[in-house]
Amino acid sequence: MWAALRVEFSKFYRHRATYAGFVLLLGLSGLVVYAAAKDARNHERRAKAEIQRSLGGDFIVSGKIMTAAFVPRAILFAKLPVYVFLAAMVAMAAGGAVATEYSSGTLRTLLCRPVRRTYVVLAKWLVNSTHAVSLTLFLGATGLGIGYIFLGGGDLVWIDMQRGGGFQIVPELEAIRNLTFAYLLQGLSMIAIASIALCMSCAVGRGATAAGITVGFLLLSGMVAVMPFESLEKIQPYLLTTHMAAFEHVLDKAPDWAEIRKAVLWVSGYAATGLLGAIVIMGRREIKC
Amino acid sequence: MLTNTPRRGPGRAAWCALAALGAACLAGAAWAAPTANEVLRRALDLSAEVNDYTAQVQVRSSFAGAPDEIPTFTVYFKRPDKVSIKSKSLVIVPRDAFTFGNLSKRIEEDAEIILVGTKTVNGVPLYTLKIKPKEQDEQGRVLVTIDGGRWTIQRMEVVEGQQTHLTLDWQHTLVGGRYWMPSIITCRAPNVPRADGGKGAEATITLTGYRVNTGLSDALFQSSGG
Amino acid sequence: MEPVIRTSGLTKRFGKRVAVDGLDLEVGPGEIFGFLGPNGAGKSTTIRLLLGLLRPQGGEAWVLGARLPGERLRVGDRVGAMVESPAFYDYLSGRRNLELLARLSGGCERKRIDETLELVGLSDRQHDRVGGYSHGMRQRLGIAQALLPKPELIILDEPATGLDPQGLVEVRELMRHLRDDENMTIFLSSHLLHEVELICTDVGVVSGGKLIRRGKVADLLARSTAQADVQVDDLSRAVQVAGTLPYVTGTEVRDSWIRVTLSGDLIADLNHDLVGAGLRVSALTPARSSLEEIYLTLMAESGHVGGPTG
Repeated sequence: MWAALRVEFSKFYRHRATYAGFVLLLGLSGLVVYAAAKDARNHERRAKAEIQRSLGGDFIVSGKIMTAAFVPRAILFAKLPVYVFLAAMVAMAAGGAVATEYSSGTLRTLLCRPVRRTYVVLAKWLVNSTHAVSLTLFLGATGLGIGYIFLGGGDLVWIDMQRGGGFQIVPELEAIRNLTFAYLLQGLSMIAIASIALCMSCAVGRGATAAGITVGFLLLSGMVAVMPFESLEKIQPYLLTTHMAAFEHVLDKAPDWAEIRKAVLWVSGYAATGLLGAIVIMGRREIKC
Repeated sequence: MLTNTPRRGPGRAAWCALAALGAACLAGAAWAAPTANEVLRRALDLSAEVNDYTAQVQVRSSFAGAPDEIPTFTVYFKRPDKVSIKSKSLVIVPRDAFTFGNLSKRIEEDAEIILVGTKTVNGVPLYTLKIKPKEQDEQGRVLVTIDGGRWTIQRMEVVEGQQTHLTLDWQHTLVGGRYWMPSIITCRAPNVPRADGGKGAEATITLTGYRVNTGLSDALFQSSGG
Repeated sequence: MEPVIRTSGLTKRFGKRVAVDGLDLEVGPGEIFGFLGPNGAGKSTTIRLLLGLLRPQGGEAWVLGARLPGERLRVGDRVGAMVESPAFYDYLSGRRNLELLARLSGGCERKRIDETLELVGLSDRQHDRVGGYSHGMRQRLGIAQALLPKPELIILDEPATGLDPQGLVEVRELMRHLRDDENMTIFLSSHLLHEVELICTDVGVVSGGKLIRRGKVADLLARSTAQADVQVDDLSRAVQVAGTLPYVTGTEVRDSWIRVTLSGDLIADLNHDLVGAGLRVSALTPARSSLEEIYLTLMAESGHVGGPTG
């Protein structure tokens, strides 16, 4: 197992394409920081007015609102960067893990060695899970890092328009700690996505197909999660996207830990099911290519 | 036998009694309750010598969304009502806490000042004034309690409509043996949500390290945060 | 001796198509076994079955005593293999590819990798990315990875494909070296029948998923009919004379010479009888059947046409 893991890590991180995702995420973080810096003055004015409005009196609202911590939070809550952009990257990497090797013939070369298929799948899963978490943390870290350079430090302040326009101010260190935790939890979501993609990768012959199915599943899950139909509402508690969204509440002043714990269990369940599926399918797969 | 003695006016005792009465009347006049305007004027005169100040501030609050404790920041004040805060962290404090409700301005705007109550606590009279714009009814009134011993403003209650909007309590400390300055300000906002979900948030502002009348520049108050 | 490879009724179907049809095959230790057959005959499928890459629907297969596919891992590194065109990670160097694959076999010393690269003639290009390798170089690297763990059995699928003439000679020498000096058993499929004839000790011919001929190369060639190409001054008379000889089974006139088919190794007798009949024999060349001819005859008999290209 250890040998398979070392081989997979070596292959994965020596491939230039592995770093393409990191470069794209760096670009995304840079873009968000650029937009935040350009909009900082207006945003601060609006935010302060909103805080004053919500307090209903003549309050002095002083200090920076557009800070470095704002960037990773904005990325997380904008949903698309994580639910689509990051998820697609993770799905592409994990989706190609077996399928691309199958179609290129390298899987055949590997399996001619005395190595258990289960170990190959586990090693690929570990590598892709590490990659998924790395990408997620990298997205948050670059957002924060570039944010520090161009926006500077300070508390995390946001106006919660979804919940009646209240405001939240989280001291800088607490914000970074909570953001790290939120990103780690989304890293778990990305592991679940990687697991599903790996499972698909074991079942199909092309990496792009596996990634496409995974992203399609995620989008479908995301759409069903927000559709206001009673028949669909029944399945919403079981959807991956429903539980991914629960992780955002880690940043709340008083998070609902029971809800977050439940989400962790569900997302872990998705990850475990994906991995188990991958092991079973790979064990039975015939290497024709 | 009747003798023709010269007629004398009131006796010495009567004069003494009259003098005593007069003195008592004068003294009574001197110790009569001051008018509302006088009370407010004396309170405002107390801080008239403070042209500006700088102080280090700490805030503990239960405002929903705000941190429990804000790291120490600096507040700058300049008469009549300029306040500037320099803080790395976001600070939300009622302006009235530092401007004493901007009472001078309220008076200038032809406010009606009514003495609505007097009580004595530990031998010190406490005057409660109601200040409201003359042209308006009871909407937007302010109730101010003034310590009749030091003439410091002890409490202010901002009422809008039928509801108390904000209550401010000041504790004072003597700075440089000369200026009575706020040391602890307790702000209660009954309508502002608390962090625990209820209503009625509270903030305690502690001021230390006063530097009074250092000649703060107006430029300091032009940036945001004032 | 226990066979190195043994299959019994081995069957593999893809849908309705039967790729391997009850294959019974044995390969003994020390053999260089050539596995021949036309396209779609089931050669590659058999090799994949022997490596546990495919699961049979019927029959059994053993490699080095381990039953497949369940016990594939039991034989571990005792089997080295190259299946079809070897596939590697193009973004890694040849050496790096070998190092990674060696790790899956429990690792091997740097020296062994050096030796193997030297053996296949890739030492000079070992640090180049495989993406820049020619087909022949990939082929050599494929052989190198199969040899890495010093296996007892090497299974090579078309190892000579894409090699230049020099490469063919080198592979031929390598196979002999592996058998003679390393005591390896070699199972190879190839469409280069001439190479098989030169390299292999034994051959098996498969058609339609079935083994239709199995034997030692020398025996096959010896049992084949002897022929002689004769140049004489009078071709028509030579045909007439040859036709009267009891050991001549056929004659065929070709341009300026005739091919005479004999029932045995009787070329000297033919020469004697032709001269005795007054003919002037200017040249007499033995022309034995090649493996290719034997193969084509077998294919014709089994109803297949075309060469063993897959």
